[in-house]
This record gives sequence, structure tokens and C-alpha cells, in this order.
Amino acid sequence: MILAVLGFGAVAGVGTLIRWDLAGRFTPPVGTLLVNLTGTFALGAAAELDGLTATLVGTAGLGALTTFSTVMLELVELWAVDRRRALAYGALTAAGGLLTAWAGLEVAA
Amino acid sequence: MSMPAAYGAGVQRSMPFLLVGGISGTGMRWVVGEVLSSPGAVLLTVNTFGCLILGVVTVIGRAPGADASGTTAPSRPSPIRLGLTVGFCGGLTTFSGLTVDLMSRWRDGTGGAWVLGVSSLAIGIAAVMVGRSLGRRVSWSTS
Repeated sequence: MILAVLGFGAVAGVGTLIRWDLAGRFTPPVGTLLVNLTGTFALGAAAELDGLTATLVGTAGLGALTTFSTVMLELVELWAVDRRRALAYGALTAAGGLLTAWAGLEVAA
Repeated sequence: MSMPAAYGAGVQRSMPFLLVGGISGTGMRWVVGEVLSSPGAVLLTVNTFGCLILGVVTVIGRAPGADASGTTAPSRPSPIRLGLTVGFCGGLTTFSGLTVDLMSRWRDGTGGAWVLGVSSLAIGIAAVMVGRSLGRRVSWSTS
């Protein structure tokens, strides 16, 4: 139990740091898009995991790696200055997210 | 792990805040998942609260218009703000969980994909806007 909690914290922490590191390497919102699509593919591919492994990999690691709130904030802020870029980012995120989820689930199946 | 140059010397100071925020946000998402039985309700709950808090924290204590630069992250967020936004809100909300859930519903024919997808987007954007408006109000009343 204690090991599981420590493991959860460690994996969630690493996921958060990787997202932050990658986001800083690209012009916003490119970094967010990259972590979200990568994480979505990985979560789809991990669909067959269960129990503690699923919690550690999916809920903690890939859940912390990807972010929904930042996407929404970026859309609102981009919309204020450049509506075309906001629409393009929203469309890329939605279509890319569904496509990578599908590809990941195909890998798992 | 090498750090992005843009964050400069603040990296070491920011790291503990990012870790505490990210781990507690992620932990809270797990707790919500244990409490609520429906995956759709879990996703809507964590994502909505995360968007609301992110909206508040992003603008609070900042000059009006400071966030309208077109680049989302403020160039030099304080470690606490970073811990709350990138850490806590990023950990609490999940994009991969939502999209994989949506695609699984569609593939399995279990339904609800359109409702969950459209409501997530609409509520998420609304929550950010409400949060920003609340955050600005607090900023002004304290200044």
C-alpha cells in the first residue's frame, strides 16, 4: 500500500515535469499538443492493463502527462488575439486526440 | 533531464512546487475516480474544476491585459503560480483520459461520446472564462 502510494506520487511527478519541460521547448501551444497526443496514444495502447499497473501507468503517469485545462486556457487566450490559430489549434487537438486514441486502442486490441 | 533555457535560474526553485502541485492534482483525480462511479462524471468533474481553478490562478494578481499576449504561459510565472497551474491543474485534468474514453465509447457503441465530447469542450471553455472573470474581480478588489 505504502509502496503503491509512493509509486503513484513518483510517476505523477515525473509526468508533470516532462509536460512542463516539453511545453517550455516549443512556442505555445505546440508543446501542449505534443504531450497530449503522445500521452493519448500511450493511454490507448495501455487499455488492456488493469489493477495497480493501470492506475500507475494510466491514472498517474499519462494522466499527469496530459492536460485538458491548459488546452482550454490556450484556446480562450488564442481566440482573443488570433481566431484562425485558435480554431486550427482546437481542430488539431480534437482530431489528433481522437485519431491517436484510436491508433493506441488498435495497438492494444 | 535538461531544463528549457526559457525558465532560467528559477528552475530549481520551481521544481518542488511543480511536484507538489502535480502529485496532489493527480492524486485528487484518482480520489474523484474512486468516489464517482461513472467515468463520464469523473472526467467532467476533474476537467471542469481544473479549468475553473486555472482560469482564476492565471489572472489573479496580474495587471489587466497581461495575459492577452497570445502566448499562454506568462513569461516568468512565480513558482507558486507554476505549481498551481502547470502542476495542480495540469495533474487534476486529463486530456488522454477524455479522448480515450470518447474513442472507446464510439468503438464499443456504448453511446454518450458526442454528449461527453461536446459538453467537455463547452463546459471547459466556459469554466476558464468564469475563472478568469472571478480572478480579475479578486485582483481588483485587493489592489
